[in-house]
Amino acid sequence: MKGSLIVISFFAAGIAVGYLGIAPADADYAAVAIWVLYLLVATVGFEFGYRDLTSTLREITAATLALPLFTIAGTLAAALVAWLVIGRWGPGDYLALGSGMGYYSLSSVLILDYRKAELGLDVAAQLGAIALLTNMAREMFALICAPLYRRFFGHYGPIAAAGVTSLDVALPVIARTCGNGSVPAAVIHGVVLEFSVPLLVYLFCL
Amino acid sequence: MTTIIILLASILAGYLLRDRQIKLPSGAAVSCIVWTLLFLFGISIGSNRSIVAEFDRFGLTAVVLAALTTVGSAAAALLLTKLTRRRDHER
Repeated sequence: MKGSLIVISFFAAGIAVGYLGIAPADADYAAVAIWVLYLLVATVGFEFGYRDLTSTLREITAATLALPLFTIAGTLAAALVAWLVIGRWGPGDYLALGSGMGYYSLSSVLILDYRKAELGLDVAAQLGAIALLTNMAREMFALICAPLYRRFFGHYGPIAAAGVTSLDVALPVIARTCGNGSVPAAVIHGVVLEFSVPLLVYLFCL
Repeated sequence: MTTIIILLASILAGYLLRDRQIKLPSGAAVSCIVWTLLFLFGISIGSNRSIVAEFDRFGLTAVVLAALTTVGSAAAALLLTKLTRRRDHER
């Protein structure tokens, strides 16, 4: 929780700095952000390969592999419903936004990057901002409403709801509501989704 | 695409080096990277007048989409629970 609030503060501070024109105007911040993103991805990937890959592979079962696929299917279906309800952007956009699966830092910058050629920087940045907010909200809902998800959607409910964050941020909450036995499933779920985010976002931005 | 390649390459690199003694970046270091990323992204958004003008509309879209996708995925998970054997998920 506290971690998420700090992240939001940095984001808000960045917005303030940008809005007030404090930062040098001719730097391409979106481009630099993408490089920092690559650094983040490389770091996370390396850590996972170094420390967690073997043990994660050992814990795989049919059900734990199926879960992320179900999460993706449910998310994408819901994203299309959102498109029908809200409109304004295309179905592909909603699918790309939903594909973030709670991974706000990655999905927002990816959407900005992938869509700017076609939509121009302004609109692409709008979508990126929505991606950020949507996926942050998803993480918040997962953390705050976990017991409700457990009650109404069963043992895997909180894991699926958390999306990628079932791997780290939401893991303690999931362990508390679903028991310690759910941890391997939650981790594998998060790992598979972490792979799927860049893939799906890329796909839906084509 | 680049991101996926970097992700896979770095996982492979980490895996190949798993028996070496390597000091991994601390959780704090990774947090700093995330903060930097969000800060930069914030700047690119805040300096963008068209976004700032429409911010209230985004917020609503984001919350509705987040609510729908979380429930959608949880509902799918419930379906999975119905389809799998008890011992896979009963504690």
